Amino acid sequence: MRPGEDDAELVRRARLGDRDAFAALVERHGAAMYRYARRMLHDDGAAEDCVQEALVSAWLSADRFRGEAAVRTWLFGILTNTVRRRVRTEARHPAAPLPEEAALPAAPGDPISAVEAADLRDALEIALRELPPMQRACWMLVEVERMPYADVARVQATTVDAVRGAVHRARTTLGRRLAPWR
Amino acid sequence: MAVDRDPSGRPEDHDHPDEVVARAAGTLREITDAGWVRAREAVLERVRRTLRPGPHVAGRSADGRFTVATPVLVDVLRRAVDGATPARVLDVQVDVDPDAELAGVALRLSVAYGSPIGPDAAAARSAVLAEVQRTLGTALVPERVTVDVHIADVHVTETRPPRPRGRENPTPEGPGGVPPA
Repeated sequence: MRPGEDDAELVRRARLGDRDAFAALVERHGAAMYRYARRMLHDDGAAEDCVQEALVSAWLSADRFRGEAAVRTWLFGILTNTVRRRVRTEARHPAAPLPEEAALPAAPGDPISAVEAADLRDALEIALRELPPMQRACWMLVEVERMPYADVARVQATTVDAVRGAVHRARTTLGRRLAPWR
Repeated sequence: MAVDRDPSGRPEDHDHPDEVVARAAGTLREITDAGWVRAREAVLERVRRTLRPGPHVAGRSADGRFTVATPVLVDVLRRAVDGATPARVLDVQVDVDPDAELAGVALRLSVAYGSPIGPDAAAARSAVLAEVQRTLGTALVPERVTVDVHIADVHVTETRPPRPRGRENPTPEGPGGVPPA
């Protein structure tokens, strides 16, 4: 990947069969896709399977991508469908709890702040699990992935108003659950 | 109500009535899951091993006939044209006859703003002819195999294409040497 290459250029080349360009898109968006899938599925193996399946599907269908949506929106749309299929399949099997060692910090920083941030994140993870899937999905995409409401509506195949309502309800619930951190 | 600007540049209603929730979201945004660190290589490998389906096209070498999947041919043609012109390939259609012989190639290009269309199209066509001969070992016969070029878009490049020699006071030009309106 050349520095500064944007998603549109990478997807143009990927559409025409350039595996390196698609791999660059995976490097760019894979971590966020995994983060979303894991919070929707509560399972590392299932998250990995879904991200892999979504990316393979994106590679196979890239030649039909016409750029109507941002590349990230396109990838998250495919992932959302993959996750939903997985949830339906596994509805009979309760999800395993998240392991203790859930994440690597992005970079070392102030130890006290890092510990506090990790504790806050753990509390958020627990609170997130109690949200209905639609609220959790919309909140993750808007607040964590910083996606515009319109893009989230496209990803979730719903309306902007529905996304706005889901995010509002999620914020209210999370705010209540995280009140001790105030 | 605080109004943020979202990554797309469109004002969005990212109001945060609760600072703690916003801070918690930030802690999640900043981490890379250990699971992704472990899975990344396997996912990339799986994607790299996945072949796009497509018809095969025949090639010839001194040892005999061989076939190439059309998605592979599309990839090498795109690289050849991108490398030979400031134009960008938007689409490559490869037409294969029932005997798996190449019957035609159709290119859709975006030309660089200010770059002359005629020479770019000719360079793209030449690059296709040369790459087909290199990859398939067969020279294209114009009467039998067509190479169609369609200019579908114009893009702006950071480095402007070189101007023709001998122009002391060049005026701004659009595609095809036509001054923009």
